[in-house]
Amino acid sequence: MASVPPRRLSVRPPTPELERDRVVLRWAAVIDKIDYLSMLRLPKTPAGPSDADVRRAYRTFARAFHPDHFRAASQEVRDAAAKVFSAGAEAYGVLSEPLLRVRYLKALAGGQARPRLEDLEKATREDARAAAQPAAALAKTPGAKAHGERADKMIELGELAYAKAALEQAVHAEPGNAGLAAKLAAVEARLYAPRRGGRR
Amino acid sequence: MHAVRSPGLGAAIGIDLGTTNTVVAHCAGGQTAVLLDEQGANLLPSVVSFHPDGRTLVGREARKRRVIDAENTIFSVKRLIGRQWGTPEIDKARQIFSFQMEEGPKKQPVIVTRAGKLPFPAISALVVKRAKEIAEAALGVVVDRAVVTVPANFNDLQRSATRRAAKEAGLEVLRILNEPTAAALAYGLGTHAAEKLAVYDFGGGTFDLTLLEVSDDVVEVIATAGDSFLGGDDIDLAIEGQMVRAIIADHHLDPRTSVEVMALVRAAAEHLKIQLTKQELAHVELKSIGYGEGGVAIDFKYQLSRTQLERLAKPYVDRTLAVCADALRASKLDKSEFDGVILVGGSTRMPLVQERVESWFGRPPRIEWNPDEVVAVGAAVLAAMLTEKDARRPAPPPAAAARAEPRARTAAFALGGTEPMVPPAPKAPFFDMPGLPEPPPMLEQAPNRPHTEPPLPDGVAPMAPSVFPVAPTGDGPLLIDVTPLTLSVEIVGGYVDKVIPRNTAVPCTRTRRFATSVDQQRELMVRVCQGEEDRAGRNTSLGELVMSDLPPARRGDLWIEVSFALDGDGILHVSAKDEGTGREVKTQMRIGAEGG
Repeated sequence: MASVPPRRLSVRPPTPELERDRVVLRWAAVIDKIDYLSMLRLPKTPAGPSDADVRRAYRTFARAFHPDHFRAASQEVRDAAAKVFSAGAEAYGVLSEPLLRVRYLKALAGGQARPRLEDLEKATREDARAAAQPAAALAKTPGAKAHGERADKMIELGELAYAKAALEQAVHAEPGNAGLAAKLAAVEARLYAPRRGGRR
Repeated sequence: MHAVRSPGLGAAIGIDLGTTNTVVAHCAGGQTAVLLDEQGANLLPSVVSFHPDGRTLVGREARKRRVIDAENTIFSVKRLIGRQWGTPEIDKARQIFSFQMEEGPKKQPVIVTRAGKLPFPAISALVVKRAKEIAEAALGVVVDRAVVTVPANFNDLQRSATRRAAKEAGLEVLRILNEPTAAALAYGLGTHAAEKLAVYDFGGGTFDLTLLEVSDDVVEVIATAGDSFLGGDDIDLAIEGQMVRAIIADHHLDPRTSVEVMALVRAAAEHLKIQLTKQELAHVELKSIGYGEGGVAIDFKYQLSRTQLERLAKPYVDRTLAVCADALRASKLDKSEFDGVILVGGSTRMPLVQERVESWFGRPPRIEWNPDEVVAVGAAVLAAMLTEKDARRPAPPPAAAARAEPRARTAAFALGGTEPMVPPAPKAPFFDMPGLPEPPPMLEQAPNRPHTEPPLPDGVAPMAPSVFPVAPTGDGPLLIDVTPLTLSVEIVGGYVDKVIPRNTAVPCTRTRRFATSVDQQRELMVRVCQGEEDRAGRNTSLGELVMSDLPPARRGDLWIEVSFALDGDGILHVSAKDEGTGREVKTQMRIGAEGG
């Protein structure tokens, strides 16, 4: 409030609550369009935010927007808070689930701020299925197969970073192969520290 | 039609609406108290009896009539609430309960009583109403809001029926809360960054073990398992059996021939069990249970030691531990991973139970709170957390005054009454991202008028506002409600497509796109069900949405987008939109609409 020019001081400052309501309405106006990282105010780094960052950001987000805080506000503000909160919870759900997260960050890098969640989930189910198969079996061409075999060996040894590199080469060798892309996504998801003891 | 919620007019309480007993508690200023009735009792039996003289009895008075007026004395409604006619639970209850049930409108069962045919929530409402009266008498103020607890495995039909019962009793339901979560709240949940808790709830008629994971203010139910016909009553029955055998042996008299004597024996059995939680040896004397030779009244003396009791109770305690093992297996966690075990329910007062739980989990369980009361205490804590947020906030000014100066603050204080409340000082936003412009100063805008974003030119991505609303300060953990069970839609072949997975934070919204499956399809039906099974038939059906008069098209050419929005009150709003024409059909699935 100190930075407000003197001529405006005749206007009574709004109460913190009214100020808060306005911020919520501004968020609600754009929430359907913005990406999950901006929503939770996470930096857009190449590797994506860490698991701990995501959790911390969601916690701050929830404390700001949870509808419980807006019980006594007008219906419009309550609806806006519910809308913003559910979008943030969706963001958290995607960013904290390794397979979904990998798929989402890829889509985001490709310029899609909000791909359909339904499509992401579908792709993720395919990733999960592909992850169960050896990469060599997914590859069709001899070149990709060689990379796939190397990737399988690295996975066996627990060297996931090398496995990822090998799979990237396999995908490069066979760009149209959805199975290999899914296997790569699954390995990336494993590389990213699984959420709390890997229960999910 | 949105009623303006009146903040802070009356008190808010926590209600543990139990199968056997109901407990009510209140929390203010960090002090939680269980509210006692006029006789100083903390437990209100969840029993309702319709007396021939037209009175409706609730609580102890009603429980006394269980034997003499069995057909009009309703108990254990919690086992039935939210269940539809024809389900196995209702069929079983019709065999074992002495009161009559029949099918009412919309497959909702009704209980046939002297006072007419009543659906289950109406019976529960009578218990809640009595709890509200107890609270009002104890607090000396009007009570108009409450947090009501339900078992973690209650589905949305059961939750919504419970909510309706509280509403019928004149309470605004702040939250329907899981019982294990309430117990954890009473023990100051959220004091650690992340913890795993096991809540062992051994009550009068049911046993539940719930594994919770608390992190980021979110309480997730990892697994819950239970036996809905295993409780302290079974141990009473075992003692009763021993006493009956003793009476037959000593006096050549079968007490089972007399309802009144059996009621006496049952009460004595429970009394012995309770005495033995503190003593090594307990006795009872039953006067004139019959008449011997020459009309001499027979008195029966019986004594039971703790060791004898434990021999009787052991099989039941073993059964609870078998359930624990099941839950643990389902969660894929190890016993050692738990940060705490909380005991809930009167039966956990037995030293045997405490010992066995301790040795099974390998750590002493927490039992500082009275296990009968801990759930109500947790509910009261949440009620206070939710309403203190309300109280701190000014009431929205009436619509007519919305354009005037912001007088809201003074108005709220006039409403709030007793003491002046100071709104918290605005906290600085927790961080500002570099590179983002400061938000435009907003002082010149009329207060409380919605801010509308100017339309964005095409091709420009909208940017998130650079600040978060300032959260109220000094609150306890923010408890984020999650869906208890997966919400799905039925797809071809009777399988399900999981739309909102369990443990999703509420409120939430999801959409699904469906294509028509036959040529010239005229109608699309969306059947919604709830549960973890892959087959729709094995889950609980919640309702359906029909979109008719579809434009003629080949199969697969017509796409319908269906959106599912679950709001904070547990109401599912389903709407379907024809992507081609933009036509929309909406339905509100107030889950389990009437009756139930």
